[in-house]
Amino acid sequence: MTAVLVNGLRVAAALVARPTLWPTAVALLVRLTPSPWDRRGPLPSRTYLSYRGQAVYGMPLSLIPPEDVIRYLQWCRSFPGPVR
Amino acid sequence: MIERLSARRSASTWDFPVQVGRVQLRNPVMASSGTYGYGLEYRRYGDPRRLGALIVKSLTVEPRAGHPPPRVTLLDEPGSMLNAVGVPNPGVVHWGERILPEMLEAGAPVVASVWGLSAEDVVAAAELLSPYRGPLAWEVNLSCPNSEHGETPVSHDPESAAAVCRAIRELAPDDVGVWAKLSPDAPDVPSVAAACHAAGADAVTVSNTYPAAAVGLTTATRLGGGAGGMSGPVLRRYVEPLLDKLAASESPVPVLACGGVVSSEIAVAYLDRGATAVQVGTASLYDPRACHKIARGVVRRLKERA
Repeated sequence: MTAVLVNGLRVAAALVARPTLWPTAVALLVRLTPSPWDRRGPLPSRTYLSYRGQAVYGMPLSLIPPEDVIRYLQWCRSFPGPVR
Repeated sequence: MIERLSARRSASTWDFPVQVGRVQLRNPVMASSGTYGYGLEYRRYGDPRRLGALIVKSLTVEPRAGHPPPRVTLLDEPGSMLNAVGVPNPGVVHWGERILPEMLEAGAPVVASVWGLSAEDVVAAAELLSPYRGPLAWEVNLSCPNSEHGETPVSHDPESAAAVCRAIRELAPDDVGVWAKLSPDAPDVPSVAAACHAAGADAVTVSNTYPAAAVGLTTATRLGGGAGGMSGPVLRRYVEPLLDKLAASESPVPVLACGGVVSSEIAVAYLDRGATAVQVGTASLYDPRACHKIARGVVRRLKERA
């Protein structure tokens, strides 16, 4: 639990230091939010986040190093989207 | 009344049936293997019943943990990545007993994918799969080393690829399709596709990821699994010429285009190049609703044309 908290703070600090990525982070949160009428609420699906962490990084998403989170956001920013 | 209206609206939004060999799909957009889990992980972002097909993560005879991290390197090419995930999966039997029933209950149009460390392993995985009913098709991942011909992947050699397809066609129930997933770096993809079709494959998927080593990408050293495969829009430069070659060869085998499908425009462009259907992969790692958005866009565009 402590490791998750410490990593979360490190990710938050890395993100705060990069204001150019804030809009990308907000857009990512919107994409990860299930439909507003989803009966389990508007929070990102834990099943999905768990799958993404294990499949792509081989570890829980909450332990992914800040540099990888930043790199992912940079990748999202350059993605030839939006998907439609 | 509301249910009937909703069903009619749903039908008009998602239905543009296509025939892939012996199987009819609701529309020509499917989730590619390895990027959509077992579909259940994405359920809160879209009803799996709305997709043409959902190809599961490749299954092997024994469970596999996959490669150590890092498994992915994000490339500078927009939207593209290099991955060496290592086919983590619970094995065919666990999937068939525990996960497949849940997928079927959710109404997912399931396609099972089988893989192995050798041609024999691929066939053995298919043999284990044969008792389980429900999948519309089996996708055979032929990007494995050919144990009889050194390090050459099965998908590089028409004879080896045909032998695997023939063996798996014999194992698959008559109403289940067999699709062969090919490598984009094979010396002669149309010959491999024709050989697979002659051996009983109903369709070929073009293509799997492009081996980074084949283009000398040095970032491969960052991956825990060593070499990796490129995916995302970078693949379009390889897939488009392959689709053109397959169209020029006038091969009757249906082609499932996979690689760089990040929008419905690109999906329709692949269909225009002769593909029967498309698979969405890396885009799902950017947006969990990508498959549904692209499916809806493709159906709308095809209906406008019709």
